[in-house]
Amino acid sequence: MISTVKHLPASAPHTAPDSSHPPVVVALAGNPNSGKTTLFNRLTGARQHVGNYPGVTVERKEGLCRHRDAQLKVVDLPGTYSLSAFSPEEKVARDFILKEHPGVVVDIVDATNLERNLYLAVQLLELGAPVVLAFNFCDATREQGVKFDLPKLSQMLGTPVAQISGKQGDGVELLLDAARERAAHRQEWNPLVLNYGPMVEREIERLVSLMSFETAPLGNLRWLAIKLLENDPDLQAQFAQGALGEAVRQSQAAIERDAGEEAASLIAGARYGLISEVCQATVQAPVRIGPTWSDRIDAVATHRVWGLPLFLAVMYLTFQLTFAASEAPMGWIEGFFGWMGGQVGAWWPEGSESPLKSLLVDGVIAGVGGVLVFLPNILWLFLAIAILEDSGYMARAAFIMDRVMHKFGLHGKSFIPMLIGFGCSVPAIMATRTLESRRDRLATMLVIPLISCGARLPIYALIIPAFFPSAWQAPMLWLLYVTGVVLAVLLAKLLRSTALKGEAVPFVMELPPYRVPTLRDVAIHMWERGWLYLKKAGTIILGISIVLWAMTHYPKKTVFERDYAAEAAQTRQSSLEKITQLKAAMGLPASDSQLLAAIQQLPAMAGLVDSSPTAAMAAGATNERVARFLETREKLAALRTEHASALEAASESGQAELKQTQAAEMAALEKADSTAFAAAQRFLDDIQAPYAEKMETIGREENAEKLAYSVAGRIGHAMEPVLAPLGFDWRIGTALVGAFAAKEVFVAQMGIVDSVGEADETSATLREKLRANYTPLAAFCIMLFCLISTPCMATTAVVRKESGSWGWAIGQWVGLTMIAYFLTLFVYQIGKFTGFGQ
Amino acid sequence: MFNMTTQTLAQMVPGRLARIVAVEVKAEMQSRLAALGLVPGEVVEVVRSAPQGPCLVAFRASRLALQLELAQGISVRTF
Repeated sequence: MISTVKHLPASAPHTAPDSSHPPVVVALAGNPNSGKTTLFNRLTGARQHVGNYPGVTVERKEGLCRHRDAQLKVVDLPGTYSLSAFSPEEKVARDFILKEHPGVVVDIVDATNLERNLYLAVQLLELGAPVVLAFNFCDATREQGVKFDLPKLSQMLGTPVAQISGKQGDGVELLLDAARERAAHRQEWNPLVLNYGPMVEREIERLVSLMSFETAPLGNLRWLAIKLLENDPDLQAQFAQGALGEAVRQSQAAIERDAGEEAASLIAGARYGLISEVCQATVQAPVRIGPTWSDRIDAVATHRVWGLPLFLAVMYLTFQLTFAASEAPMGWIEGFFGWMGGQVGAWWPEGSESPLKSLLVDGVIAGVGGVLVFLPNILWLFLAIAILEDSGYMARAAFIMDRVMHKFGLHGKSFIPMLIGFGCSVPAIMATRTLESRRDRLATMLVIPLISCGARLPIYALIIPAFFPSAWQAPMLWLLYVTGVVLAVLLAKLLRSTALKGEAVPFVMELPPYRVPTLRDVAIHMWERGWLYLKKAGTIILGISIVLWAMTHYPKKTVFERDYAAEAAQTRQSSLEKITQLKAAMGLPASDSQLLAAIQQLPAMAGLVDSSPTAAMAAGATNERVARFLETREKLAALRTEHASALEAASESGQAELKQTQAAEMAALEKADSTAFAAAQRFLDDIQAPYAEKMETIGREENAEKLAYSVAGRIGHAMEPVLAPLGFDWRIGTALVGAFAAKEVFVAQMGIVDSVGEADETSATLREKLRANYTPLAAFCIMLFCLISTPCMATTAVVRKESGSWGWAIGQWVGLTMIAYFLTLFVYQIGKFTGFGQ
Repeated sequence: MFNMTTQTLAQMVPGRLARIVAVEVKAEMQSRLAALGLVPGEVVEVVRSAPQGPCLVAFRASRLALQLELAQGISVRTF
C-alpha cells in the first residue's frame, strides 16, 4: 500500500482547516467502470441517498462517510469519459463541479487503462477544480508488472495522487487524508494550463480578448474559450450568441485552414500528447503478449455463432431467477396479507358492513399487498442485473443484440427490459435504467406494456377455453403474444421516427474488462432498487388502490330492487322444513337435534341457522343413524365427483365400461346401508344442492346490484355506447376499470358483474356465462383489448417515476388505450362484416 | 517494404492492425470518440466485424463496440 501525496505549488493560499461544520463535500468523478461506485459503496455503506438531478433522469447519489474526526459528504457523480457537456451525465458532472463547488474532486482512475482515464483527469485539472487522483485497480497493475513513479506523475500533473484498491479497501484512508488536505488548502482554483500549439493558442488569445471577465464560469476565460472551440453545445448556447459566436466560428475556420485539422481534434490531440508525455516519464510497463483473460472470454461471448446462444442462455437464467425464484416469496407475501386481512377483518363482528373494515381490508391491505407482492421480482431481477452489469457482460449482450434491435430504432440494451416484460412490466420498466440515451429509454419504456405480461395470462386462460376448441387454444395464445411483440416493435419504430426522433445516438460502447462483482455492490444495488420501488411506486399505487376500492364500493346501495335478506330467510326456512321431513324418513324422533347440528357444520350448508351449534351438539353424532348418514353422505359425494372427473377424462369407447364399474361401486355403497344411502341421496339432491346454489345466487346478485350502482358500475354503463362497437357490454366496461388496478383483477371483476360469485380462471360457471353472453369474435376482441390497452396502475406509476413526468405516463396510458380501441374496433367490425367468429 | 493503404475501419479485416489517420464524424461523436481514446495516431485492431452490425475494436486496454456508420467515418492506414 503506497500513497503519495503532493501538494499544489505554494501559490495556493492556505486557510485554516475547518473541521467543525459543514461536512466537506467530496465529489467522486471518473470513467464508467473505473470502480467509482465500488469506492462510493465502500465509503458510505448503506447510508446513501439516491435522488435525481432536477429535470434529467441522471441519478444523484450521495452519502455520509466518517473519516477520523470529521464527517464527509460524498457525492457520486455520473461516470463520464470527458467533461464536454454532450450527454446529460457529462453536463451534470460538470455543472456540479462548477456550480456547487465541492471541497475536493476525487477522480477515480482505472490504472489498467491509464491513458484514457487521464483524459478526464486533465480536463478536470484544466477546469481548475481541486483534484486528487485515485489510482484504482493497483493490485491488477502490480500483477501485470506495471510500475508507476507516482511522485513524478503527481509533480508533472500538479495534483496529489493516491493508490487504492476500491475492492479490498487498501489505501482508502490515505486517499481520504489527501482529499481532506486538498480541500483544506483550496481557495483559488488553480487551473492547469496546457499548450495547444501556436494556431490554437493564437485563437484562444483572440477569443479571450473578446470576453468579459464576469461571463466565464469561475472567471476562467481560457477554459471557456477552449470549450467554445471544442463545440461544447451547452456553453455555446449560454455564451456564444451573437458576436462571440461569430468569432468562435471564425477562429475554428482559421485553425482548420492553417493547421489542416479541426480545432476539436487538435485540442484532444494536445491533451493526449500531455498524457503520453507523462506516461512515458512515469510508467514502466512490460510488453504484454497474447490476449488477456477478458479477450479469451470475449472470444466466446461475442462470437458470431456462439455469442447468441450464450446470450439466450443467460437471458433464460435471468428470467428464471426473476420469476421462478420469486414464486415462493410472492406466495408468502400474498398469504401474509390474506392472513392480515382476515385478522383485521375479525375486529368487526361477522357480516359487518363497516366502511372502515372494508377500507382497511379491501382497500389498504389489499392495495399494499398488491404492491409488496412484486418486491421479490424486483429484488431478484436487480440482483441478476447487478451481476450482469458489474461483471461486464451487459455490454456484450448489447453488442450481440444491437444489430436486431437497431432495425426497430432501439438500442441493443433494450432487449433485456423487453424480455423481462413477459413476466411483469414493472421491473421491466425499471430495467430500462441501463439505457444511457433518454430517447432509447423512453421508447423502450413506452412499448413495454405491449409485451404480454404474466398478469394477463389469467384473462386468456379464462376466455380461450370458453370459446375455442382445444386444437385452437395454443395457436390463439401464441397469436396474442405475437401480436403484442409485433405491436411493440412497430410502435417503437414509430416513436423513434416521430415523437422521440432525433438522430439515433450512434452506438459506441466500451466493453469493460470482465470483473468479479463484489457482494457489497450487488447487495446495495438490490436494496436501493427495492427501496425506491417501495417508497415511490408504493405511495402512488396505494393511493390509486384506495380510489379504485372506493369506486367499486361507493355509492352504497341501500334500497335494493329485491329483498335479498327475505329471500335468504325463505331459502333457509324451506331447507329446515326439508330436514324435518328427512328426519321422519330416517326414523329419527322429532325431538332429535343431532342431525341438524351435524348438517349445520357442513361447509356447503353454512349460515343455515343463525346461532352457532352448542358444544354439546357439536360434540359429534352419538346417534348411530346420524353417524352412518354422515359417513354415507361423505362417501357418496366423493364417489360422485370422482366419477364425474373420470368420465370426463375417459375416451369414448372407455366410457361405457367406466359407467358399469361406477354403477357397481354405487350399488355396493347402497348395499352397505340402504336407509342411510337413500337419506344421503335425498339430502344431497334435494337439500344441499338447492340450498347452496340458491344462497350463492342471492349473494352474487346482491353484489352485482351493488357493483352496478357503484362508480365503477356506472362508468361501465356509461362506457357501453363507446364499447358497443367493439362487441363489449357494460360488464366488460366495469371489469376493465378493475383491470387498471391489476390486469388479473379483470377475471375477478367479470365474476362479480356476471354474478357468478368468486371467480378465477378455472371457473366453469363463468365460462358458461361468457359463452351465453358473447360471441367468439367478441371474446377475441376482449383479449385483444386487454393485451393492448391501459397499462395497470403499477406500470403507470413506475413510468411516471422513471420518465420523470406524468406527461409520458398519461400519454402512454391514453395512447395505448386508443390503439387498443381502434384496433379492436377494426377487428370486430371486419369480423362482424365477414361473419367470422359469430 | 511498406504496403500502406488507406481504408475505413469498417473495411478492415479482423485481426489486422492499423493506425487511425482521421476521424470524420459529427462533432458530438468526435468528442466522444476522442474521450474514449480514438484519436488520429492511435493504433487499433478490429477484433470482430459483422456485415451490418457493430464492429469490435481493440487498442491499448480498451475494447470498444462501434456502430457501422461510425466505423465508416474513421480512416485508417494498415501496415
